[in-house]
Amino acid sequence: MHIPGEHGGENQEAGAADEYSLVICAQRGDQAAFERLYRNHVGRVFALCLRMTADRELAEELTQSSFVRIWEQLGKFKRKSSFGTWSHRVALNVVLEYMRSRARRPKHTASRGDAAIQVAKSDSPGARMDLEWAIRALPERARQVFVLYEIERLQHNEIAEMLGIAVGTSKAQLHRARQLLRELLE
Amino acid sequence: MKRCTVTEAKLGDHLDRRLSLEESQRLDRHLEECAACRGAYQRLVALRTLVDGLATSIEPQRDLWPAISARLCGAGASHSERERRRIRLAWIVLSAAAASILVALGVIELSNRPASTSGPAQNIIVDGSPALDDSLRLEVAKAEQAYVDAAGDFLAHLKSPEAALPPDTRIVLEGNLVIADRAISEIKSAWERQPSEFALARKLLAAHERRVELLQQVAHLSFATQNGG
Repeated sequence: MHIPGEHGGENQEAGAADEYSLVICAQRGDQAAFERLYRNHVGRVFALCLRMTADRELAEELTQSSFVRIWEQLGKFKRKSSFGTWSHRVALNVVLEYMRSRARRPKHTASRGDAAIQVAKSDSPGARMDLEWAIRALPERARQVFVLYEIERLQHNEIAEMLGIAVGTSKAQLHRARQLLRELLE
Repeated sequence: MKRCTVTEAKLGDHLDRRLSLEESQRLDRHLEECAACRGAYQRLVALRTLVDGLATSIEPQRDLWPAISARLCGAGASHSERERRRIRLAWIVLSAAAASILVALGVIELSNRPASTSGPAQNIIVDGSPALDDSLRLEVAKAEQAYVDAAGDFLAHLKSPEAALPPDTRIVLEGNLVIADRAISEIKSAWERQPSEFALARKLLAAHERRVELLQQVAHLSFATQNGG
């Protein structure tokens, strides 16, 4: 997959210029240009959605919503950052909005993540789990904090604000996630 | 071997470089001595290395574009609508600018005309009965008030942080307001000097009405752009 910004030197500049041309066309309503932007960035957006939700179907749905939101907000993109960075941030907001809206609904009796860990342990005793799979098996809150901290490289104060939790809770969840991952990967 | 629980919580902070230099050095010394903590810390480092090696992108198993494209059709309409509003807004701004220039030219033309003229001006003065004079003055006063209200609303909207007008458009409009105010002020002065010159009154009234109409349209479109996306 071609991801603008991952080339080197002149190619990188040319790639960024091409990408900006695509953005300009898309801002004028050109869906073919937007499809090319989608193809360039869908992998990163889907990875974020999948890691945050641990649910492939839901991740696909949120990826779709993210690109619809990106399309709607294209007029706000002012080239202060790369399109990839900007669109990734829009996608993150879509995921977090979904999670906040779901958090307001009545909670389930059992944590899906905890159940996933039990299944993983019992189904593959002694097996070394793939890290990607292990992250998905984490309890929801621990997984979200881990993904935002370790993969998205956000600070605890940012994570706390985004998830509506205390900074101390964010640190505790990260610690918990690391412990669980170590156990799952051993 | 039982892990040292005293330092375990700090291993993550050490990995993230969130400890002070003193704390960090103390922990390093502890790690040299405590095999359990050293092992735990090495596993944390290994985990970080694994995370750093994760793929930056994961392709979905199916092509999501057809579904996205279908959803864009609805969003696309609003996108086009925004563009249409933007063009219409630009056209109105240009119209406002043209109207201001025309009025300013009219003022110059009138101020250069001698106070008492023969021909068409004489015909206008014939209409100036005292009753009609008062009625016209009232109409001018009403139009002036409407202009002041519309201008006030518009300026308040322009100053709001949510104003959807692009900065360059705002500058053009504010400039036009200055031109319009100056032109109206000059027409009024001319009318005060020549109260029987109804051509001036009509010009003043027309200038007021035109400005109210234009300013209300611009303000309305600006609000529509802001609220409708």
